[in-house]
Amino acid sequence: MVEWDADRAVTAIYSEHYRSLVRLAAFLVRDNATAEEVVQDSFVAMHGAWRRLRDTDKALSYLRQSVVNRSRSVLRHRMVVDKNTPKPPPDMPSAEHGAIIQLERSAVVSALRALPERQREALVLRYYGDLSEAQIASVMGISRGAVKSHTARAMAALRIVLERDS
Amino acid sequence: MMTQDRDYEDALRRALTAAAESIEPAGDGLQRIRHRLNSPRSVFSECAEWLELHRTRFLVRLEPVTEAARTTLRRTGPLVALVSFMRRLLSSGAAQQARAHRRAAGSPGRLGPAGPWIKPVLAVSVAVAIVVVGVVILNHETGTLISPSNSVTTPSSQGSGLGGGTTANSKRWKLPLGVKTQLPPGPKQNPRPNSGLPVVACTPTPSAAATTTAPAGGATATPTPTPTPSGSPTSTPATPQPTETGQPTPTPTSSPATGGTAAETATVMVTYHAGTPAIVQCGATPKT
Repeated sequence: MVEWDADRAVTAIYSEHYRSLVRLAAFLVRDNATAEEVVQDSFVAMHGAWRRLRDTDKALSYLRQSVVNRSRSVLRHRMVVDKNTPKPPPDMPSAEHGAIIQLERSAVVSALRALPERQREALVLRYYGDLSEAQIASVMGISRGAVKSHTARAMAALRIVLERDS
Repeated sequence: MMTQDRDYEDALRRALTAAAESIEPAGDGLQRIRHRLNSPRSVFSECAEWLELHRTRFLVRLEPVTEAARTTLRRTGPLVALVSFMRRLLSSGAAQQARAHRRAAGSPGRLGPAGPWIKPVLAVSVAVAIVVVGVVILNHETGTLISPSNSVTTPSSQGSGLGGGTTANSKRWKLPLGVKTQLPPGPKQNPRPNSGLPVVACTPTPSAAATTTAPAGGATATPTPTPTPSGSPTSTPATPQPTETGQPTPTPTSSPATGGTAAETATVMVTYHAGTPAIVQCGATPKT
């Protein structure tokens, strides 16, 4: 019965929130394919944790938190890989180059990419995910004060970059 | 000022929404999720997944603690390096900046000047520790100790259990149960001219207790002989059988005092030449 509920919950949440979750992850990991993998992994984890979630709202919160945490892990892993592998020559674009170009069309997104990881997460969750400070604090695993601090610093940095570019 | 902030927020919201519109996930996401759900998952992968999921959260929760500790300890001065090391260890963002800074400045790694050689030294130390522990465990299991000087082992005699031997002249040597080591008191008890060597007497004892008498001042610094009595006891006293081999194998076998009256002493003579046992002589003398 629980298994059946979990399957049904996965299907329901997928049809309603999969796309937004992939976009959220794409802002964080800057790669569409990786973003999809991150979200799919999160769905699998949510299916496994359904026995203690048993609620769609909790499951959605779990999914967001899982997406953010897995995106952090992806970025950390990518940092290690980038450190240890030789960079390709400029005339050989990497596989994710197209996706990054796609994301960087906007100057705002480009400036967003330059922000530190936590500040970028706070901004994306706040202004793309439309989450409240309490929800952002829960998803990021930090206090509400820290959320305010990250958001304010990110906005200040973003403003400096945008004014300089304009 | 407030309206300007609001304008920036609106601009950011619009830009993010517009950028997100261009991201369209593949249509087979649900099939892939179901495929992953149906594929068997091991306990290990679940544990790894759990750790992966909660590690970041744990580190994030630790960050205020380390921040407070760093602020407190900064006043003390000398501990700033330790605090910065912990912060770099726990904070990936700080680690990234530190790496970039190190790249720019060309400074040594976070382990400091000892970084290049401390890892190999640690690896070798761990390997040596594992080998030593393994040898100790092996010795404890078999009841023998390996002497690296001449590679002579002393198995436990009469099958009387583990660790029954006692050491003589060195901690590396272990004598089996019922073996008594003593130095001959005078030349008349030692038929060999090389009387400075200790004589090992195999004394049958009904009980399993082993006694060892350390040789008197005549003992030399060379490796001491080791009697190796064979495992099967016989009723007749062993006759001396000198050999020319390095291993003192023909050791006397003392019979357990079945009758409880006749006790005998078997003497083993081992002569060392250049650090290796050359002659072994065993003799049995009735004990009065």
